[in-house]
Amino acid sequence: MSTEDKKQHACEFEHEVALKVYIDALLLEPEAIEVMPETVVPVAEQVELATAIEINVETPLEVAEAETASSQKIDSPAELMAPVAGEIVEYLLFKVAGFLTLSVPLERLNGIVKWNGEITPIPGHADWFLGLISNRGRQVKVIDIAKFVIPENHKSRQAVEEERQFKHLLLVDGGRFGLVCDELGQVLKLSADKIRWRDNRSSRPWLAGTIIEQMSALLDVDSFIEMLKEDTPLDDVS
Amino acid sequence: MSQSEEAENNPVTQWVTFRLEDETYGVNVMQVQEVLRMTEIAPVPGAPCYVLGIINLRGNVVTVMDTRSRFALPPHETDDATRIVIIEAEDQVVGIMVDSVAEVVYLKQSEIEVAPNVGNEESSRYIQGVANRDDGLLILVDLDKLLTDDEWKEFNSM
Repeated sequence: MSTEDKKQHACEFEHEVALKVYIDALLLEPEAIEVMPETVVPVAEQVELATAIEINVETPLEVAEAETASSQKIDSPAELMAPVAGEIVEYLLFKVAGFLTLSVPLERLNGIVKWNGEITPIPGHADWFLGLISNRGRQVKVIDIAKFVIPENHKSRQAVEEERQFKHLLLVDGGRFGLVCDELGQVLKLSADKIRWRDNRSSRPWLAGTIIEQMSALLDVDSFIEMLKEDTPLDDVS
Repeated sequence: MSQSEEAENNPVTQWVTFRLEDETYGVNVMQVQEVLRMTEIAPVPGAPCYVLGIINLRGNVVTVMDTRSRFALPPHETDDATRIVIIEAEDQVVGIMVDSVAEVVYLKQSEIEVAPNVGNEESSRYIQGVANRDDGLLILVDLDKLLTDDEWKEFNSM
């Protein structure tokens, strides 16, 4: 089998897996609603899984996302991020505004693209919503994550304005959102006990916890995207 | 009055003293776990202004309070004398950053005057008393009241 064939085969396989996850999720839905009526939004779930399938062809990371997404939805919101004890999860560290090291679970990323500066500003939105960028024919909402996570009145805010240099876009939510970052860091393979998980998430729900050794703030991608969607009520143009 | 009566009616307490700007403050030694030299403090995104960041203390994450901001003092460059005092307050281990740590002093109950209720409420809330000493006034801080209940809760969930 040639490499091309293998690739094609792998794609088909991924497609199958994703489809199964999708159907399973649909079957599971009524039960899930019963368990967590306030957290499960069936429509959103379908949409999310549907995009996951679509992008599957592009990146194998997606299968993992689709699987975890369907199993996580049944959990309580506090447990959304915390992996099973002993399970090793990969996290990507990245730097914003020159001083803040954030991290995301690698499997929640849909890709990383170089920042080329060709952005279409959309006026009348929050200052952390920079505008739209076109990536592979899709419109990506570009988020200045440093501005999002550091309150306007905070003393480090000035550094955010001065130090930030856009180098990369981290794509999340099936490529709908792109988070600008200065610098990509290392990828860490960590078990859950290397992270201090926050138990009280009433404030800053997007902050899942802290990677202890690197003292890096770990993003809860799901909650983060939820908040972005609330505040960027643009029609999905993609 | 016998010595034991004296001890009962006029107990001696120990206070770790530190400097902030031009004042000397004291915190109860029973609440002090250790004193650290300045170390790397990682910022916490979205944290309120009274939080400087977090430090890694032998594998535990400890949140460090911006004591200057809490005491309404201007920011100050850290230097060789800067210390992070690790304290226990409201069942949490937290760090407070101070300009320098001086000594441990012994105070009899009778030497402690209840703080006059002057100034704004914000600062008088956490001052539990003052003691007149040869080298000036010592302000005794009630660590548990440095933050309000809501702020402690927020602090705990850094």
